[in-house]
Amino acid sequence: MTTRSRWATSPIAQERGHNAMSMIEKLRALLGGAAVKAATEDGHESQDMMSCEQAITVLQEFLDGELDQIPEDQVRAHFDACERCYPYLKFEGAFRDAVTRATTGQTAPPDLRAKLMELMSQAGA
Amino acid sequence: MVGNVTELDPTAGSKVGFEQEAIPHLDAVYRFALRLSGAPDHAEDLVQETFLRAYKSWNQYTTGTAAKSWLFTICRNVFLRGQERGKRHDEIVEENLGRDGPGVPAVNPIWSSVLGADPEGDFFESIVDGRIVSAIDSLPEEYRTTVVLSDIEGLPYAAIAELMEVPVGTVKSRLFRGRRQLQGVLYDYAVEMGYIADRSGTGA
Ligand SMILES: [Zn+2]
Repeated sequence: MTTRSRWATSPIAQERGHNAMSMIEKLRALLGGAAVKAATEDGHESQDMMSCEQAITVLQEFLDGELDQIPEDQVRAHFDACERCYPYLKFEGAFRDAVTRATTGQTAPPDLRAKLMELMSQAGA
Repeated sequence: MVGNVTELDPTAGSKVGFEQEAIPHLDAVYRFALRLSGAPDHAEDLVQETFLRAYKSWNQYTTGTAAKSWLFTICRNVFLRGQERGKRHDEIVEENLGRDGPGVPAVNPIWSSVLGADPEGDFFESIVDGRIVSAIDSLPEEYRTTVVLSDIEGLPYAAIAELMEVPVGTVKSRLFRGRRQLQGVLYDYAVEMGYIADRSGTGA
């Protein structure tokens, strides 16, 4: 089943007070130099490409359409080109697809609307 | 039936507005109520109470603002008040949740578990709807509500923050932690079901 999900396309630009740099700093400490090394070994033009740490740091915001400091195209370009990070994007996407798929079919029982209408006319209009 | 009802009778006009702006969100509010309460009959009660309250305070609602978020807010408040009267079984203590402190590390620990076996998370597709829903229902309310509002209802961080009366940073933190907890439950289930080899690589 292939669900085209909102995170793949929606560019919801929200103004938020998120400090991406401090998280990147934190992440750099977690990952050490490994990610940067892997990225350059993959043959990236590392001067133009955002780092793996940066990409992973903004992955959730990217999927949520909530990037506020880095252009969406730049993040997409990294995940498209980076063998190391691409599976993480796929993994998080597969998770969201599963949640969406499992819950979208759920609708209110047919008689609930009628009950509401009755309730409201009793409440007085 | 009658032309220009809104201009002649503000009460009738208000009812028309309510039917046009609030009622279309019935399915979404029901889904939300279902995930909050975990039981269809409880969810129906919750929805009825929500719409009744919304209807009674409809004059406080400004046309054009997010009716869906407003209804979700009422629904959650009704639910939480009911919880206070009963038992509060799934309260979380935010501070105790992480070795990670207030921030959430962007590296998802489950990624290393699936590395080599199922790095792209294909196992999620094998899990039946009911199992995913019950995994969502097993989350503490704060996580459950955040994940449901974001991943199922598609609300932006800012709207969730307003609805839950917490800063956007808290929404992000709850969202990330809630998703990871949910992924953990689903991963364990997938291993148990043999959809994925376990992290030692010896699983079926
Ligand atoms: Zn990368």
